[in-house]
Order: sequence, then structure tokens, then C-alpha cells
Amino acid sequence: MSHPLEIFTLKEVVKHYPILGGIFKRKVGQVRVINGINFAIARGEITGLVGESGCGKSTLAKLLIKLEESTSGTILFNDRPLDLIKGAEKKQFYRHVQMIFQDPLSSLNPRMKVKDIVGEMVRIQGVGKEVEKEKVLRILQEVELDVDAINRYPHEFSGGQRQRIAIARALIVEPQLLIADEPVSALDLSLQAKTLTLLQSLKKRYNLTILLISHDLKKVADFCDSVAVMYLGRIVEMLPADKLLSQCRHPYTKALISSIPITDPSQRKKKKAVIRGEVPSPIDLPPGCAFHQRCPKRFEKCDLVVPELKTTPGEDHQLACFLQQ
Amino acid sequence: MMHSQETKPILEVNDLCVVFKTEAGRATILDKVSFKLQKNKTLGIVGESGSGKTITALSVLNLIPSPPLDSMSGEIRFQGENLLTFTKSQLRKVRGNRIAYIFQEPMTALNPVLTIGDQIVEMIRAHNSISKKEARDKAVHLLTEVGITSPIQRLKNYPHEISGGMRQRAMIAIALSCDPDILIADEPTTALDVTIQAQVLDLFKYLIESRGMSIIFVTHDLGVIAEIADDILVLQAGKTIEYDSIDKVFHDPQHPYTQKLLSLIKGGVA
Repeated sequence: MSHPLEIFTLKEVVKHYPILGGIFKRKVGQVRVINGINFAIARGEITGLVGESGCGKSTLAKLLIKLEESTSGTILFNDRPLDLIKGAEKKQFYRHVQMIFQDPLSSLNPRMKVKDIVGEMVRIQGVGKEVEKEKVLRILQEVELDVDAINRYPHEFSGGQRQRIAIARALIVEPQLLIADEPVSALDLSLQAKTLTLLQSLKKRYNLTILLISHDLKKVADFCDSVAVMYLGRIVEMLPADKLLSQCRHPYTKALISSIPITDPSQRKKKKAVIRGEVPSPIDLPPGCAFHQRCPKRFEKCDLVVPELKTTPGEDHQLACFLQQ
Repeated sequence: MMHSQETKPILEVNDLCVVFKTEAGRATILDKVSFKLQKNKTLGIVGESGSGKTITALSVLNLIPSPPLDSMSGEIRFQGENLLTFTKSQLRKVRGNRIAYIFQEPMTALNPVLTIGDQIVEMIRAHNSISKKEARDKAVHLLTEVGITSPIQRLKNYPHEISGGMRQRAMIAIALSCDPDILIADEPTTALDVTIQAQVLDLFKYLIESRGMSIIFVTHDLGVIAEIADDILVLQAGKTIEYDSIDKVFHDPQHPYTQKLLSLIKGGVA
């Protein structure tokens, strides 16, 4: 199987949820969660997806793994439209795309032993008992868990270990893409770094592509290859991760970065540009640029026209802001 | 150890030990933790999960449930009096009134079936004998102070109807309602987005200046501490690792554990 450069390609993807009301449960409005996303996940890279809560990060992940269907637009997986993937092909698809979640305790079955949680994945593929055990032991070793872990239950492990069980479960089927939805947010600082480093080394060994969903800009800047910044269902900026903290141009990205707590108390006196207000409701989207109500640099055009995501000529940088185009 | 200007602290904790009873036997959760909180100052308590930072905050007002609590020893002096010797009714007069709490997750701390207004009024009337109308006016005033727009409408809202940032502001308004001397905030910004976190931290800074309160700020995020605290207490496994002024700890950390924590926020993924 030859693989295209982009593992996932999204074109004008829209996801609206209906709001039902009245006696007859008629549609009275809609929650516009994803509003036209153009985005690609490059093979072999770690792509970061950042934004505030409610901006549609997790909905996007659900669309990618076919937990939800998009309202309009096309999603291509290895150049094949996602809605055409059915039947036996769908089973294969689920092998290739795996996901890990924020809270490992709630995503691991408390009544199953680790050997079953992890082994179930390959058992479904019909491998024999011997092969299954061998595979489980190998993957547990790779995520740096002890061999005697196989006979224990999830509650017997620490948070970091549980997240590594979840990683083992996702990687035992050797997927092409791993979607990690806030994989380290529930962990302590020292464990966050350790888990991310482990993911990075596994990525190399398994030739993985990773989509890392996070709200922590610093982690994303350190750990990813490229970063997409989302705001109210649109991608407002996409750029290489090493340029995120120094060369971002969108006022929203800048505001996110200036909101990161300082690391040195002597910088406290410096005035920071804290953006006012909160994310508008996706039920009642403002016209024009979704960010204009909070933007410190808005001008007339921003209230009326939605800026498109455009590539800056000669650079690996996409931006949706009139100010910079 | 610290404070060149040694004034009388508003809260002084000496050799606080907390022991839990578990199935596996007794466990020392806090081991001789001591600190001082000066008036108009902010003390940051930092540590990883399980280090005892929340237990330290809870033990100040004897809020740890028993079981698992087995025994507490040491001294917690609030304006000279030892809170550990207080009776239940004496403690009740201090709780909420003189020392108030803010918790991490406002959605679980607020009552979902009462409006924001009811909950603020309840708190005011529990500690002051004033009319409902007066209490309501005070509630509007408090919501304005914590930066909630259109406070009169918000009084009628239930907690689920407002955003996370606004819920946390409402929690702060409830905590402020009796003009406490000390505010204990346990991870008050952890559940919030960075932009909202920055707004709430600005609110805390404003309150420290305008009200002259003392704050105990419990968090695992050293970045938040760097923004707001004057002194810092680093805990690990119930023991004090480091306790000094913020500048000293950030620029010249003595303990290897503190050094490692600081390197994690400064260097990112190591």
C-alpha cells in the first residue's frame, strides 16, 4: 500500500448540532461547532491542535475517527473519502487510527486485567493466545511497564502508568495515526514531560503520525512539529511549532501566548495583554471574524467578512487575519 | 528564615502533623509543616498530587473528614488563638466569615438547584443579621466587584447557565461576601482556560490591593505562583521541601526537588 503525504485531508468541513425544542422537537437552532475547516495532517509528523475549551478540538477528533459525521465538507483518509469507508474497510480503518483520552481511569475498564485490556485489541484480529501474550509483553516493555503488570487491574496503577497502559492499548495494533486528546493534562508536571518523551520515542519506532490535542501552548511548542490554532470552529493560524512562541501573527495566538503564566517572578511588573471577555456562544456566532469582539486590533472589515486561512507566500505559515494579509 | 520586616502574622502554623487511619495502618500525611501568613500577603503552596497541599489548606479550618482523619497535632494560630482547640460552634464563626475557601471546580462547589443570587444571599445572611433585600443589594455589589457584567441578571442564573470563568468569579464573590481576613484558594484557576486564568489572576491581584486580604494559594502550577505569591511553600510527600520568599526560591532554589520543578516549567519538555 502506497501512502500519500497527508494522512488526513479536511476540506471545508462543517459540523453543526441541531437544537431541538417545542412539543414536536422541531429544530429551533443549531450549535455551530466546526465552521469550515481546511486542514491536513502530514504523515510522520506530530501535529498540535490548540484552542480554548469549546472551540471544537474534540469534535474535530470525533469526526476524524468516525464517531460523528460531518454536516458538510470532505474528510479524506489516505486520499479516500471517510464516508465511503464501510464494512470490512471500516474495521481496517479503526486499526489504523487509534485514540488515547485525557483521563485514563475512565477509559480503561476497571474490571479487566491489563493483559485483557491490551490483548483484546489483537484478539479481535484473530491472533492465537501465544502470539497475543507475546505482543502484550512486548508493547508493555516499550511503554516502560513491568512484566508483572499484566495480571493487575487499572486502579492498582498511578496516573502516569495508567496513561501508559492506554498508550500500549492504542499502539499494539500498530496504527498509522494516534489521536491524543489532552493526554497529559491530568498528570503531574514531571510525569507530563516523561509521557510526552515516551510518545516521541514511540513515534520514531512505530513510524507514527500523532495528532496532539492540547490547551497547553508551551507543551505543544516543545513537542510538536507543526501547530494549528483553533478558535470557534475555525483554524485561525497554522505554523511550524518552533516558530509558535516567537513568530505567531494572529492576535488570538498572541493573546494565548501572553496568557501563559510567567516563569520568573521578576517579570511580574511587565504589563501583559490579557484579552477581555470570553469565547462567544457557538449557537449565536458573531458575523465576520469570530474573534473580532475580543480582538485588540479589529477594524471595520473584521465585523463583516470572515477571513480565510491563507498561506503566507514563501513561508510555511497559514493565517486567517486581515491585518496580516 | 524569612521576612525582614517581622510583623505579627495573621495566621501562624507550627509543626502541623496530620495522621490518617487507613486499612494498611496509620499514615502521616503532613509531617511538621510550619508557615506564617502576613497581612496583605499571598502565600503559595505548591506540590505534586499527593504532596499534602490540599490537606494543609483544609486542616486550617479543621475541614478534613474523619475517617480518614485520625489525629491532628501542632498549632494553627489565627490572630493569636489556636484553631485546633476551638469547639465546633467557635469554628463555625470563623469558617466562611473570617477565613473563606475557594475550590478548584466551581461546578461541584456550587449548588446546582439554587441560583447564584440565592447562594450569595444565603452566605451573607448566615453570618450577618440583615434583610433579604439588603443582602441582595450586597450580592449585586459583590458580583460587580469580581467583574461580572450585568450582575442583576446573573443573580437569577443557575450555575450551569454561566461559563466556567464566570462560575469561578461567582465562587469568589461568595467567598468575599463576609469580608474575610484570609482567603484560601485551592487550585482556583486549574480548571480554566489560559486566557480566563489570566483574567482571574488579575482579579486576585486587584482584590489583594483593594481589600488588603491575605491569601493562601494552593496550586501545582509554579507559573501561577510566580504571578501572584509573595512567599512560597514547596511540599513533597507531606514534608516541607522549601519555604522562602518567591524571589529567593525562583532564583536560588536550595532543594534539588524545587530545582527540578523549576527546570520543568522553564525548559519545557526535558
